Amino acid sequence: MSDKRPLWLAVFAFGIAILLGIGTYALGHHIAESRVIVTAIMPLTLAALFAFVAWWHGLLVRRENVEQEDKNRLSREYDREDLFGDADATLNLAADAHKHFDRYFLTSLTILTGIFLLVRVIFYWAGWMEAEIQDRNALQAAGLSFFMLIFCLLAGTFYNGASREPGCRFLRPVGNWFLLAAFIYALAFFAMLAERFNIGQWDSGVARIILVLIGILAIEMIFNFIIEFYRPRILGEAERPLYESRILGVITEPGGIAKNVAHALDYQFGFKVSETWFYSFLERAVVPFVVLLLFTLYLLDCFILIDYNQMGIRETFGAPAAKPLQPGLHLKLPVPIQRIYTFPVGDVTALSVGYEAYAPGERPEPNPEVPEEQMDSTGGRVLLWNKHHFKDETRFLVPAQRDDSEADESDSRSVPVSFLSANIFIHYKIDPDNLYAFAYNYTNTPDALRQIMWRETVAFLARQDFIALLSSNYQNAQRELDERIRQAVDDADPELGIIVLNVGIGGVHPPVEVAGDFQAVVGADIERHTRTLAAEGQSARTLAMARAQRVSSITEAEAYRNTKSMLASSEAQRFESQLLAYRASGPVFMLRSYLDMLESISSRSRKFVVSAPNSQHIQIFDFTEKVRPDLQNVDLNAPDN
Amino acid sequence: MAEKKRVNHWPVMLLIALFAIIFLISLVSFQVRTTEIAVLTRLGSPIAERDTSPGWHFRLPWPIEDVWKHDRRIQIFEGQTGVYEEIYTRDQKNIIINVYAYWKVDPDNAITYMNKIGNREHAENQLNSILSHVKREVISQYNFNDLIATVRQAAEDGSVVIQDTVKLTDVEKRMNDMLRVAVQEYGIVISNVGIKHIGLPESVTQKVIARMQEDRRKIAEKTLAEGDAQAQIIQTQAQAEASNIINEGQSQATHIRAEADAKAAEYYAAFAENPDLAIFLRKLEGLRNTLEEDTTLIFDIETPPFDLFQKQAIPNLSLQSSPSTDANQ
Repeated sequence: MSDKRPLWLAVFAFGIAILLGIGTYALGHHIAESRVIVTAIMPLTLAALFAFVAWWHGLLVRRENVEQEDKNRLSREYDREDLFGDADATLNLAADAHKHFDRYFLTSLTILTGIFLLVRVIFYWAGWMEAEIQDRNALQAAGLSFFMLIFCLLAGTFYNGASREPGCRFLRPVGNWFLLAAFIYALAFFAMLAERFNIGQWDSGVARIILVLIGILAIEMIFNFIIEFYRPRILGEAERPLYESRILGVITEPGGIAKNVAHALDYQFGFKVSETWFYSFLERAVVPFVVLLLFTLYLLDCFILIDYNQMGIRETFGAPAAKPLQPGLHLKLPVPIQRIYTFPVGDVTALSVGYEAYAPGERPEPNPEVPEEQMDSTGGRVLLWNKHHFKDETRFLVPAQRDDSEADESDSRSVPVSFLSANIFIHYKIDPDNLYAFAYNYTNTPDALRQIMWRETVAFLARQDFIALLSSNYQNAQRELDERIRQAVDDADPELGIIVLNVGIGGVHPPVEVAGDFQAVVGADIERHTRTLAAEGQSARTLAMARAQRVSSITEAEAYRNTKSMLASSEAQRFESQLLAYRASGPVFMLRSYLDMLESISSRSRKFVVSAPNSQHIQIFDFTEKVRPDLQNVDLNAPDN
Repeated sequence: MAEKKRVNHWPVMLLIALFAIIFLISLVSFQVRTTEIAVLTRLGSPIAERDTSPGWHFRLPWPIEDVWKHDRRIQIFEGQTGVYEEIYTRDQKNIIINVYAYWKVDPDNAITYMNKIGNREHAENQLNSILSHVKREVISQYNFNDLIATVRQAAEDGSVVIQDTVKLTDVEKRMNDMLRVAVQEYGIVISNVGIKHIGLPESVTQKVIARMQEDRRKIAEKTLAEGDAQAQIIQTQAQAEASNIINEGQSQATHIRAEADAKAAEYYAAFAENPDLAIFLRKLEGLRNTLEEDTTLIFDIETPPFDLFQKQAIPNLSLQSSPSTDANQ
C-alpha cells in the first residue's frame, strides 16, 4: 500500500463531505425546507473537518516515518546509535510535531468541536419554536433525500472499511459521521413520505430527536476531553482519535452491537454461548423477524373497526365509495390504496357563541381591585350578572331601552344602542343520511356552523327590545332564534350535513359593568314596595287606633248614659225614701245623716278635736307629707276668719 | 459462503425493494382525494385536458410533470389584519364590524387560481384587501339604524314597539355580490358573506355603558321617589280617615251623653219636692266622696258630736229635746 493512500483518502473524504454538505444546505434550507435535512449539515461538516484532521495526521505520520527511516539509515551507516539518540532534538522534529499534534491539537479540537455542536443544537432548537413549514413538495424532498442517503451511505461504508487499513485509523470518525448523515437522510426520506401520504407531520419531531442525539454526541466529546487527562496510558496502545464517538460507533456499526452482546453473554455464562445453535438461530432470525413484524404492523392497517356510534367513508385512491360504512369490522387495502375515515354520527356535539371560556388551568387569580372578579359567597357556584365568569364575553349591540320621544334630537351623532351579553348554544349531530356533505363540503363544518350562529345572533339581537328580551319576551325570543338558526342551517348552500337538535339562549344579561345598576333597579323596586308596605302598615295602625278611639268614645258615652240614668233613678228613689224619713223627723234625720257621714270618713282619717272657745267652724288640712311639725306650729289663738 | 450471505440478507433486500417500488410508483403517479382539486403541469405549463378527478392517475416523473393540489372544499375567511374593522356609516357613526366569507377554488377555473394565487395563504391575502374594500363601500351606503333597529313607534294598543329597520340581509347580499365579482378573476367562488359582529369603538363603548348605568340609576331613583310619594299618600289618607272616624265617634258619644243627661233630668224632678234636703244630702255625699284616707280632720268641741265634750253637754242632754222628740211632742 502506498504511504500516500491515507492522505488521498482524506482529501477525497474532505471533498465529498464538502459537496454533500453544500447539497444538504441547499436541500434543507431552500428546496425541501425540511428541518430533518438541515440537521444533516452538522455531521457532514464534522466529516469534512475530521477528514482534514485525518489528512494532517497522515502527513505528520508520513514525515515521522521518513524521519525514522533517516535515523535508521544513519545509524546503520555510522553504526552508532547514541549519535542519533532521542536526546538530539533536531533529529526528532517530525516525531515531536506528531506528539504535540496528539497532545494539544486533538484535545483542543475535541473540546471545541463538542462546544460547537452543542451551541448549534441549542441554536436550532431555539430557532424552531415557530410552526412547521408544510407547503413543500414532499415527494420531491423524499426523492432527493433518498439519493443523498445513497451517497452518504456509500461514503460512510467506504470510509468505515478503509479505516481498518494501516495508517487510516483516523478515517473511521469520518466514516461514522457520513453514516450518521445517511441515517438522518433515511429518517428524512420516511418523514417526507409520511407527509406525502398524509400519515402525519413528522419533520419537526424527527428533527428534534436528531438534535437530542447530536447533543448527546457533543456531550460525549466534552466528556472525552475531560477523561483524557485521567486516562491511564498504555505503552504501545493503538492510536485512536480523541474525538471519535463510541456512541456513534454503536449506531453506525450494528454488527458491533451483536458482537458486543455475544462477548457479554460469553463472559456471563462462562462458555461460548455465541457458538450455540440457538444463538446462531437468533442472530439469523432477528432481522427477518423485525421485517416481518413491520410488515404485520403495516397489514394491521387493513382492519378497521367502526364503533357503534360511528359511520365511515371508504376512499380508494382518494375517491369515496358510493355508500358509507356502517358500524362493524371492515377490511380494506392498505395505505395508500385505501383509507377509511370515521365520523361520530351518534355523538351530540355542542357549540356556543357569545363568550370565550377559560381553558383548564387558564383562569387567572381574581384581581382584588376589581369587584367584578371577586367570588361571591357561593364561591362561584351561582352565576351572577355582575361577576366575570368567562375569559371574554361578546357585547352584542341591541336597540337602546328608550323611545324616540326621549332621544335628544339635537344630538344626531349619538348611538341609541345598548350592549347585551348573550350565550347562544346549539346541539347538533352529523346527519347519517348526509354524511358526505358533512365530510366533503366544508374544510371545517363546525366552524361554518359557528359562523352561521354568530350571524343569526347578531341579526336577531339587532331588532330586539332589550328589557323585554331579558324578561317577558324571553320565551318568544328563544323560539324565534331557534327558528332562525335552524332555517339558516337548512338554507346553507352547500349543505352542512348536520341535524340541529336544540338551540337555546344559555344566558342573556347586560354587560358586567352595568349589571350592578340593573340589580339596583330591582333593589329600588323592592325598596319602593317596602316603603309602600310600611306606609300601609302605618296607615292600618292609624285607622285601627282611630276606630278604637271611636268605639271607646261611644262606649264611654253609653256607659255614662247608663250610669247616669241608673244613678239618677236610684238617687231619685232614695231621695223619695229620705224625704219620707225627713218628713217623719227632719232634724234627727239630718243629724243622723250628718253623723253617719262623719263616722264613715273619720274612721280612716286623723282627727283632732280642738277645744277652742272661739272656734266656730271646722278646718281641714291635708297633712299627708308633714303633719306634726305643722300642727305644732298652728296658732290656736289666731282669730277666726 | 456468498450464497449463504445473500440468503441471510433477503428480508432487508426485500424491504429495500418494497420501498424502492413504492417510491418509483409514487414518482409516476398521483392521487387526488375528493377534498382536493388538482392540476397537472408539464414542464411548468398546466395541462387542462388531463383528468384530475378524485382517484389514481399516472404521470411522467418530476420534473417533467408535476401536480398542483388545493383543497376544493369551502373555506371560511374572516380577515387577517382587519378581522374587526372600524367603518363609518352613511349617517357618520363609527362602528366596528367583522364580516366572514365562504370561499373555494372555482373547479372550472382551477388553472386560473393556480396561476394567479397558487395557495391558500395568497388567496387569503387577496381576499383580505378586497373584503376590506367591500365592507367600507357597502357600509358607507347604509345608516346606523339599517344595522341596528333604533327607531321606536307607537303601536295600535298604545305601547311603544321597535320599528324593524334592519337591512342586514341587504347589506350582506351587496357585499356578497361585490366580493364575488371582485374575486372571480382569481378563480375563487364566494358562496356566502355574513356579518359576524357589529360593535362600537372602545371609547364609544365606554360612553354607552356609562349611559346605560345612568339610565338604570335614573329608573332606580324614580322608583324610590314613587315609593316615597305613594307612602306619603297612603299615610295622609289614613290620617284623614282616622280623623273622620274619631270625630264621628266623639260626635256620637256627645249625643249619647246628652241623652243621658236628659234622661237623668227626668229623675232629678223628684228633688224638687224638697230642694234643701236634696242639697243637704248631696253635700253629705260630696263630703263622703272628697274626704279620702290620710285626711286630718280638726274639729272644735262645738261641732257635733264633739259638742258632747262641753261641760254643759251632759245636763243639757236631758233637757234638750231631740228633733224626733219634738216631732213626737
